[in-house]
Amino acid sequence: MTKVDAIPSRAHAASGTVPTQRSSLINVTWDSSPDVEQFLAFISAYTRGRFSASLAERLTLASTELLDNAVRYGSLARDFTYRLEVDGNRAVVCVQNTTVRARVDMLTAQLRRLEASPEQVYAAELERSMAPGAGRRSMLGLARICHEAEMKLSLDVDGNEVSMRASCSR
Amino acid sequence: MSHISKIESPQLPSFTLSITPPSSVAMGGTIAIADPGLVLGGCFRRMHEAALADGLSELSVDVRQLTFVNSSAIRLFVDWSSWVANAGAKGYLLRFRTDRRITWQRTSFAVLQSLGGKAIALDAE
Repeated sequence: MTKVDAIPSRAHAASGTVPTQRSSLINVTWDSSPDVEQFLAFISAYTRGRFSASLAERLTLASTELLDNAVRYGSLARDFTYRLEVDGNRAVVCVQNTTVRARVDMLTAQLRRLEASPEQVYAAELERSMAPGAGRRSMLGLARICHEAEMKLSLDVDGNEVSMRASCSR
Repeated sequence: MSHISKIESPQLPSFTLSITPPSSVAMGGTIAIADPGLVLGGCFRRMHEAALADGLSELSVDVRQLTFVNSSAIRLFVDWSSWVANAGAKGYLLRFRTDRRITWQRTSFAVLQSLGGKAIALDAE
């Protein structure tokens, strides 16, 4: 982890209050591939200290899967940004990286499928990986965020830069 | 000495594997490494082959203390379920003991059970 821009003060965190306006709780930039396992330990501890157990579990899952996807399916540059925000009544996880057009098209199509029926996509992804000779590259991570964590996914694209956001009520 | 008792636990700081012969396995911790198939896939396969070699009718796998796994790690359980489902008459019943309060266990194993047919049983507490 190379740069941490925003972590709330101890006093603020200890107060147990969460800002009602949009507020960045964590903003981390890496200039090389992040260690996702190490980040899991960090974000799990942070969210458990700040949110309910259930919300912490959901945010940890979304954070880990989005970051893992960004690392696994590549950045054109070697930079990754992670943000955890509260926006009014919503908690938002955002991972930004760069990728190729084909990947953007695949993500867009997958989000469309997930929007229609997350549970079916989740089951289909598990079934697909169970088939003999199935490749390791599935979209199970995104399906887990929608079905398991019950979070809404959205994608912003600006040239080669993609920002994947997962959000839910808090 | 049973085959399953000879299996060594993989060395992963965040993951624990405890084998109680003749037919119980318990896992704990988290699996979030980038490619768990490389590190744990062989061990899972050896447990499956040991269960076959020992002629077990049932193997209990307790995952209640396994609090988080990434998507790649879920595939370890998918693979294991498909091995058992494909083993036919010489196979065994793979019984997962899960905790309903842990979301990944509640969602994943329900689907695995439906895909694995009679080879997979679920004890959800």
